[in-house]
Amino acid sequence: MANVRCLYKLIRLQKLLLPLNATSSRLAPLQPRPLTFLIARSYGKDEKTANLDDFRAREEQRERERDAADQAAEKASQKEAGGGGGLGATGSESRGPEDNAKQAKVDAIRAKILDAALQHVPQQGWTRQAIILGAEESGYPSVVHGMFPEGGFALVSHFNGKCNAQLVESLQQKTDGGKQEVEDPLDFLVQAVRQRLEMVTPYKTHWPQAMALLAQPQHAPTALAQVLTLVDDICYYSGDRSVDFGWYTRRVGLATIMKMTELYFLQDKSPGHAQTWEFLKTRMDEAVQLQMMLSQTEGMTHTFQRSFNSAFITARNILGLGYNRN
Amino acid sequence: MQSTRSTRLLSLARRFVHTRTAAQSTRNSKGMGSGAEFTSGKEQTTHFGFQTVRESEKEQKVHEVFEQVANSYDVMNDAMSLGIHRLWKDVFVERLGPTHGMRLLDMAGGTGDITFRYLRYLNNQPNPQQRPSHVTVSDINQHMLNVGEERAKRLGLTTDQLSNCTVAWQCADAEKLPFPDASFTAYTIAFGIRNCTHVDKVLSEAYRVLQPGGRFMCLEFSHLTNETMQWLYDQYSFQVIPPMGQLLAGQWQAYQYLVESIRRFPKQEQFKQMIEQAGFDQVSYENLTFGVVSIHSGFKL
Repeated sequence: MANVRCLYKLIRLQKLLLPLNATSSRLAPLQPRPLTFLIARSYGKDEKTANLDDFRAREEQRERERDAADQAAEKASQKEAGGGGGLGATGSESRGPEDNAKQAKVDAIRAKILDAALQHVPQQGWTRQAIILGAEESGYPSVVHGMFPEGGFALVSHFNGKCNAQLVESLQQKTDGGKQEVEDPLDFLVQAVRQRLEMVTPYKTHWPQAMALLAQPQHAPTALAQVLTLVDDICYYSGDRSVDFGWYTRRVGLATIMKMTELYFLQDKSPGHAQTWEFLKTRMDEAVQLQMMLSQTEGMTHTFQRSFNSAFITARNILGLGYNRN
Repeated sequence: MQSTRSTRLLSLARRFVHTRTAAQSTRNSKGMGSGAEFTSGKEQTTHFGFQTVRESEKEQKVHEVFEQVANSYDVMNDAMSLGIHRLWKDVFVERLGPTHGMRLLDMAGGTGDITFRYLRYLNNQPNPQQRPSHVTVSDINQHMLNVGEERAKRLGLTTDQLSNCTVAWQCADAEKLPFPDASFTAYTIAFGIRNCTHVDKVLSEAYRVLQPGGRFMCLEFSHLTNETMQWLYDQYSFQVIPPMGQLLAGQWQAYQYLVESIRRFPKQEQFKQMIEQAGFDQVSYENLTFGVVSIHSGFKL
């Protein structure tokens, strides 16, 4: 009896870990797929899983419709703005094409200065001084460091953003925009994390300073947002299309593993950081084992609780503290 | 009998004409003008505190105010703001973040508070490449500049006594600067812009003399974010400051003008838009002490 239940749970676990050939709202504008695929790929004869597939299909259909409606509305409003923008933007609420162009210009200058500043990081660290040197190289007076009031953190978050974008591009190429199925998702995750960490290698000497800046509470919102988007992207391209609580646990788990590996990476002196990649692989395997163990013991949690309670009551009786409270 | 009546009528008529012309002139000088309006004359009017004066008069009146207060300016600043103005100016220079090689124009610099902080900040920074910096202190009132120069000598912050930094003292009108285009990398104006007749001209002149990438920074009294605190601040401003001015400096009217001119200055958001209209990018402002003063900053990109 217990064996059958264990098998049951293994099947459900497989469904969580392995990718399904489902489309998602992100790909809707690219290539909508027929829904028959979903039904053909259902694993168990479980009623629950069949319902889950239907539910997922319905939700994705709704999201696609919503996206199409949003795009149509945007096009309509753009046409209006294009006609009215010629009269000149007056209100501060209406972000006309002028404001967007100005903002784009400022953003381009900021990116240019920070990119030039990255070259000075190995000598100066993630500091305002690096930004000043970068600014002067780009042809701006040193006073423009005032555009980055957060100082070194602006540089760190720019670098992180750049690396994340680079990684996402590479993952997109590998999986053909998320459409191609990934054979070994675990290995895919390991490779993605490894690729991301290898981008940090040129700045390894000052990376502890960067991690300290990321940990500061005033920068927590930006830092957290970047990590979570990165982890979400990696999980998505590895084929995760789950809609249950496992969505959260997987991403948080991956973020934890990434942080641990990053810390190990800082003090790793082996050639090509081979030990770090071993560490990463071990952590990933442990995480999978932990998840399997947790799902297996799901039914036994009650038994554990009751036996713990009885042990506690026995101990209390032995000590003479137990008495009838009724 | 007839002659007395006619003379009485004549004198009445004369008095009537006099009062009419007098009333017209008072209506011109004390009115509810908000900004510039057209009068029967050719010139526009502007605000001088809560009065309305002709634009040509305002400059003269402001000049008189500062001529009278120059000697006790620093003492009165300390008394009015309970010394907090030193913190505001410290934060202001910290936000600017002076670096070696900077060329600063300290407009309405007068007695030199911002300049001395700038020079001290640079002194505390290492200068391995020995890059020269420069600061020009400028004010429309020569008397204020004289006070500043004396202070500089006393503090040891003149060109001769500093290494790698030159200090120049120049009397100039913020609306018509005598400097060539793109000759400074930073422009600061602390507690001076509300005294200018045409703020937009000041902003466009600032844009002109700044190099591409240069920074405009303005420290100015502004409007509080909280209604109750604004009321408290008003009570303090109007009931305490002019009498204090009379006691410490012998000047009631000058300090009456001061607190009134603070109220007439545009609010933070409006001033930010004015700076953007002058051509500056990434304009932002930071309130200090709940909005009693505000630091506006913009870049010429």
